[in-house]
Amino acid sequence: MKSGGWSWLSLAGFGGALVFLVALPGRWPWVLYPRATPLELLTQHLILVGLSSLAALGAGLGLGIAVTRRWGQPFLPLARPLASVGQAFPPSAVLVLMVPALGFGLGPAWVALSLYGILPVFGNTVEALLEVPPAAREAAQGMGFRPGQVLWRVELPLSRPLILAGVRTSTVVNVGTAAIGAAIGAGGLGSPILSGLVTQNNGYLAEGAILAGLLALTLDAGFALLGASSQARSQP
Amino acid sequence: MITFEGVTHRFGETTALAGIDLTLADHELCILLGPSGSGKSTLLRLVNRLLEATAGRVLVDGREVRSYRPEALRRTIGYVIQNVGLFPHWKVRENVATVPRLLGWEPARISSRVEEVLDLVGLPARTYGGRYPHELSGGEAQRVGVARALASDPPILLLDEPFSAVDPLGRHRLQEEFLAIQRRLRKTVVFVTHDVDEAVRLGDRIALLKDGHLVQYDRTEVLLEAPANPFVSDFLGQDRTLKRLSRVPASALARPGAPSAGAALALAEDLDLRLVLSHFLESGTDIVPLKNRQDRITGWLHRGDLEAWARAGGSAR
Repeated sequence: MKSGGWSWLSLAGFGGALVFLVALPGRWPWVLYPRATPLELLTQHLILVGLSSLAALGAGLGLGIAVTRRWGQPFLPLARPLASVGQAFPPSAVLVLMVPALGFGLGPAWVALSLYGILPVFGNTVEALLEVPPAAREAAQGMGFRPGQVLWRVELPLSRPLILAGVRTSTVVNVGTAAIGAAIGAGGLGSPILSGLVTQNNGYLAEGAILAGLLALTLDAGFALLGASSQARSQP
Repeated sequence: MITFEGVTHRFGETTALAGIDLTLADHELCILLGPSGSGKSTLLRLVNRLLEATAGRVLVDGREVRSYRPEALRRTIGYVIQNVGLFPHWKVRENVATVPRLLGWEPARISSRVEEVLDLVGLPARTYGGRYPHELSGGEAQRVGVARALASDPPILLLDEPFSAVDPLGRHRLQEEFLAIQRRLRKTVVFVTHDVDEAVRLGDRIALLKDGHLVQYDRTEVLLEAPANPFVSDFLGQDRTLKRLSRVPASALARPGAPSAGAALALAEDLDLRLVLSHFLESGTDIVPLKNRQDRITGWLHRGDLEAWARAGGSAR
């Protein structure tokens, strides 16, 4: 309950600050990045992060489920090394490597972010599914659950908190990585940052960095709340 | 009725079961007994197709289990395992409702049935229904496990070492309660254990397995009186006679009327003969009156009768 209270507070604080800054651009137009309004930049950023995180969730969850099924077990030993290698890879490198492969623009950035986001979700999904008590799985099977029902009604609900933690990491990291996406022409909150760096304009720089930071904190608090509610329901 | 016909099961190179022929009668509690690695759990899991026989046939009521969809078969057979396997994210009530929900019962019917079986295992739904498994003691959790297996009123119950993870005192209570439930419901029960005392206390019949072979299958009394070979007598223990005594109530050997010499202490007539013998050894007397639950003397027992009964078993070999 206590941690839930803090999460509500930070969600309201960070989210409120974000809305406030985006809604009041007319006050200091001379320091702001002229080519797009903060709202447009934030929207671009959110679309990029949202779509790539969604893809990462789908792929990470799917792969995690696959390697823990009987038919996918041969690939399980690969899962952990793969997940940790992914963490060690710098996000800027992933983005830059996309350019020779797919060129500039939103598409390549989306692909890079999706790939980079898969690993935390995948790693946590595998970990969570392996931690499901074998007795619960055996009982479910023995009482006549179909394999899909064992997964859907027993394994995934029990894995939810850990999987959610993976999605949280993946999404929050993605907010930062997406800012680097501006370097390959993906737009979003990275554009004023990049422009600020090039023209030595600290106003542009601060605009992008503050908004991106607040977005990351807001999403983090939101996920913390989701996690707290799922934990309350399935105390181990 | 459950029939095994020439059932063999192999895991890779190891042969877990080698040509088992066995028929389990309806409404009886049959124990599959044996040391670890004897194949008893494997035999049990063939019944609800958690495992498939490599060779031979398994039939339930004359129909081969292979002809059922596994899920459909399992929903008609109650299943209890050693580690209980309650679903940690579901309340007791939801856990017990598992199979009725899979079978698509009406919600009203499910909730009344859940209360009924929770009452049966001594955990009133009002108190326990809303708890999560982690809020239960080991014994309570296993009672919920039994209630869950009974929820859809299946004719067959499979229990795989259900009480062996519970402490000895709790285990004894669970055994007594389970026996009481079984006397009321008269299910066809297959019960795996490696604990000889548990087997003797609960089993109508015992099938003793060793290294994947069926060594002896008989009524529990017969197994104790006439073990087929040294392995059986060793496995059952040197105190086979005491174990036999433990299955018989004092009233079975009672003489009518009251004893001539008025002995002070009377024993309950449903006490088992093993405890009566213990009383004789402690008190040094040869005669003990028996009383019923209303404290009325219903007969008496002579030490000589008890010893003669015990010896008769030895000669039956």
